[in-house]
Amino acid sequence: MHGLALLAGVGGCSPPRPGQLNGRWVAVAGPEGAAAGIAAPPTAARPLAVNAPPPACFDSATLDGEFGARCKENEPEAAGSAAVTDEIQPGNQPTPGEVRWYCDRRTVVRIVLDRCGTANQFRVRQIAVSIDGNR
Amino acid sequence: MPAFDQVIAEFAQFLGRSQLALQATNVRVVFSSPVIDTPIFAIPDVHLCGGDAGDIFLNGTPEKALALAGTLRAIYDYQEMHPQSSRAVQLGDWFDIWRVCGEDPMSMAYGAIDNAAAFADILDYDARIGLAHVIGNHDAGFLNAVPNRRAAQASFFRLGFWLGHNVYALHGHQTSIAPPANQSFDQVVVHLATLLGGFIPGVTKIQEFIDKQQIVDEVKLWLHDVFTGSHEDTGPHLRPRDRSNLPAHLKTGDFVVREDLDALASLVHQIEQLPGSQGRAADLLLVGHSHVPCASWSDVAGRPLVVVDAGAWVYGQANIAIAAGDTVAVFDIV
Repeated sequence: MHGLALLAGVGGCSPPRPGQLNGRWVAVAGPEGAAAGIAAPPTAARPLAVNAPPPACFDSATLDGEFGARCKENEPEAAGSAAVTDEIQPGNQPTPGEVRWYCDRRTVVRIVLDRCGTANQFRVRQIAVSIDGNR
Repeated sequence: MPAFDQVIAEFAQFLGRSQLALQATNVRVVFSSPVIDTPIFAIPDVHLCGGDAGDIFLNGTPEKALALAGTLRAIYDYQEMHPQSSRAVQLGDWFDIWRVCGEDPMSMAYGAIDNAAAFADILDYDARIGLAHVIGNHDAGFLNAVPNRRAAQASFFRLGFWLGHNVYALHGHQTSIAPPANQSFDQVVVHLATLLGGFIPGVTKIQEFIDKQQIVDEVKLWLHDVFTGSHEDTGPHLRPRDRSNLPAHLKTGDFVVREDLDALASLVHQIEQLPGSQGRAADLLLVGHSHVPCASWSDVAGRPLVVVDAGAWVYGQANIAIAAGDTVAVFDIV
């Protein structure tokens, strides 16, 4: 079956990049399922395989290195509250997961991360990619 | 209940890991008996901008970012050493959306702050602590959208918080805007507290919610201004020394009469009456906004309330308020 492979890396725009997915972070989806990870070499018009998961746990800088510039702005995820009667819970309350948005001229990538325990490292939970046409 | 001096000694050790130290200011209040059962670390107005030349937090000195990151790291380390036994709060104006987004404090397009490389370590520790943020007048955009990294913790951004049963935290700008003519401050403060108690984030925006209230137009305009208007901070004030006799539950303190003191105390008293406060009553109110640290007290609501203004991190300042046991004090981070 035909798989859909989306190049998740958001690179520079000049000069145009050659078409290469092998070894890069990708999100693939199709009738055979979906996965995110490191792409295997494309072979004989068969659906692209993911031959390794993303690194188990990595820091924010690693992610920025793979995906480039974060969006200067993005649609809102959640609003704060005007409530005034709640209590701050004691102790550290690290974010259980986080989101990153990466943008270039034609591509928007939203990545949902799970924190690895209480460390300052994360693992990928979901990659969503949108690529505009000739805008 | 750890003693104040014990908390300070341990926190200073953690600060030392980043080559930082605490330096006392003259803002120190000692109660007659221990009243703060869980230590509190309060970071006042930070005003993170875009990390560029006009950034009033960095003030042209990259070391400032190291100092704040080191301070947050010390809070994180202290709370790791003593799990579930202290609280941390940032008192509003964490971001300066007002300055970065064309003087629109309600803007959501503050990626320049979120993405500033200079702030990477600061925002890492912010997320690792799960720091609670009071929303101030320069980051009112958090009422529309919290920073991406904290999107799973939107409830950690509120207009006010209780810290235990008898300490409250508020940015302080709510009372620096004059109420409309023919409305006493007590009247509008009731509207303010009632409105805050009924607003449901995510269901509607605060602007729409205010518009639907059955209140006179002048008060609506005032509420709009309080929550969504552009306000510069109030700046330094001539604060007269408070020479009145101390109430019985206060032992020592270098008190002044802070601007809007009684209005702040009235607002907290109204918040105490809200069902969600569950009978809590404040002995201590922590605020920011003015950028000038001070201690005051008021009994306008019938019960003495100590108000400590924790200062700021703008320009050359780097303050933190720490409360534990019988003492609350403001320090310089040096």
